[in-house]
Parts: sequence; structure tokens; C-alpha cells
Amino acid sequence: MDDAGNLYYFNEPTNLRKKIDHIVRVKEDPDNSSFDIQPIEGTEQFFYDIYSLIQENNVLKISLKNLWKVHSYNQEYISYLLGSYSKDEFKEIAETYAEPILEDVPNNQLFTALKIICSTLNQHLNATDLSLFLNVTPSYISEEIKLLDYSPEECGIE
Amino acid sequence: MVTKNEVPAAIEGREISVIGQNIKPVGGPKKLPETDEVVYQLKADRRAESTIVKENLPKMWRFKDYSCLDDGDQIAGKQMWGLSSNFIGIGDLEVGTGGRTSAHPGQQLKIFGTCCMVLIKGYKGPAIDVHPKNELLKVGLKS
Repeated sequence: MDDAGNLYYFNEPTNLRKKIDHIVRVKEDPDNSSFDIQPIEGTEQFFYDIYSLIQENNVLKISLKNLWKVHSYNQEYISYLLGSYSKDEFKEIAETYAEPILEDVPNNQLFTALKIICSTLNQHLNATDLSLFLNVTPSYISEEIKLLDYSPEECGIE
Repeated sequence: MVTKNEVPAAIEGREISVIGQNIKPVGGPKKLPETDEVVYQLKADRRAESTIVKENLPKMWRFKDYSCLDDGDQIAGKQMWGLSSNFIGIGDLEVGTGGRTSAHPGQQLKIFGTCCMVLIKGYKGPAIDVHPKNELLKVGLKS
């Protein structure tokens, strides 16, 4: 994730798997003054468990940052609608919140991010709602999901 | 004049009329790449129609390469999302004019400047307005 809260994923560090082959438990045996080594599991499963947690954490951080920006802007918008600001004053304030829309998220990562958000909230959301979490356009979400041959329902999209 | 009601479809123009039943501002303002122009997002859910009232001069694509660009071109569907140079201000949204059905008074909005509307979810053919009275007539419970 970059400082602006845009969606950014690290690439899967494949070289990590090459370095480690097995996760093992090393236990000292004081009587024989030796070590007992027991394999626990292969690196691959261990790696994916950790990787999925990091990825989930990353997506939720991005979502929180983006939603906070939207929330802050909405507070100003409500103030304008209640008459606290004139149209020109609000326009100046709104411009400070303007940021570019991201449209170069790899589609498989976008799919994962959508799955994480929908499963966290445990409800179906439409593409416009999901775009707020990830700062991508709704049309990009619907187009990319279609390219992956997933049905919108599989991603939790209404 | 073209009318599209299936994805992918979009329209771009200087002035666009949006008629629907759930027109709302959505998210924060966005900066367009290259020009840094600030635009505001909006969405129209349930049933919505968007029509180009004034076309772009010069007539060219800015957002989607499949956008319709001529006066009167229209998109219609269940979900729509768009951008406009102007945010939805007090009194901009008219209720009870366009898009009226038996179940909803309908909403109408005109967006100006740099604007586009993109169809997110379409439908095949216009949505049928089912009035309870028509339903009763159909099953023969009302004369």
C-alpha cells in the first residue's frame, strides 16, 4: 500500500519458497545432550497461510484508508447541504479531497480483494459500493471480473 | 440516436440528463489523469436512463472507447455510474418529473461540463412497470 492509500500489492516472493523447504521443530534432549528434529509441514502451505493473512491485512488497511477519506469528504458535503458553506466555498474544500482513480490493478488481485471485502462484511455489495473501498472505478470492477470469467456472484457482487 | 441497455455501454457529452429512481452522489471527488480536472461521482440504481442533451465539442472519447457521443444517444439499465464536473447541489435533483412509476415518484438530474455515464448492470428491454391493479386484472380478481 502506498501513502495515498491506493491499492498496491506486493508480488508473491517466490524465492522465499526456494530458500526454505520444511518447517521443523527442534527440541533439545538434555539427557542425551542431543537435538530432536521433527518436521511440521512443507513450506508451501505455511507460506500460503502467512501470505493470505498479509494480503488480507493489506486489503483491509487500504479499505480503511479509502473509506476514511470518503467519510471526511462526506462530512464536508453534509455541511454544505445544511448550508454551512456556499457552493464556491465547498468547491474549494472538495478539490482538496480530489485524487486520481486507480485503474491498473491486476485483475486476479482485484478479485481477491473483492472476495476479502465481501467476506469481511458478509454481504453482497454492488460494483459502485466496492469501488469506494479500493479507489477503482465501478466500470473497471465489472469489466475485469467479466474478463476473468467469474460470475459477479462469485465475488460477492450484486 | 442509439439506445443501449446491455453492458458495455456508456455515453459522454457536455450535458447529460439522468432519469432514475435512486440517484445519489457516491464517494469523493476524483482527478482526471492528464488534465487534473476535478470531477464528482454519482450513481443511479434500480432503473435508470441517461441521455446526451449536448454532445462534446470536438466529439471525442475521454473515458471509454465504446461510449456513444451523439445528441440523443441513450443508455438504460439497472445500475449506472458516472462523473460530472459539478457536484449535486441543493435543489439540483428534481423529484416527481422524469422516471415516475407507480412505486416511485422518479428523480431527474442534469449534469454539465465534463461528464459521462457508464452502464454497470443493464437489462434486456425496458423494465415493465407492474401496477398492483394490473396484476389483479391479469389474474381476474378485479374487473
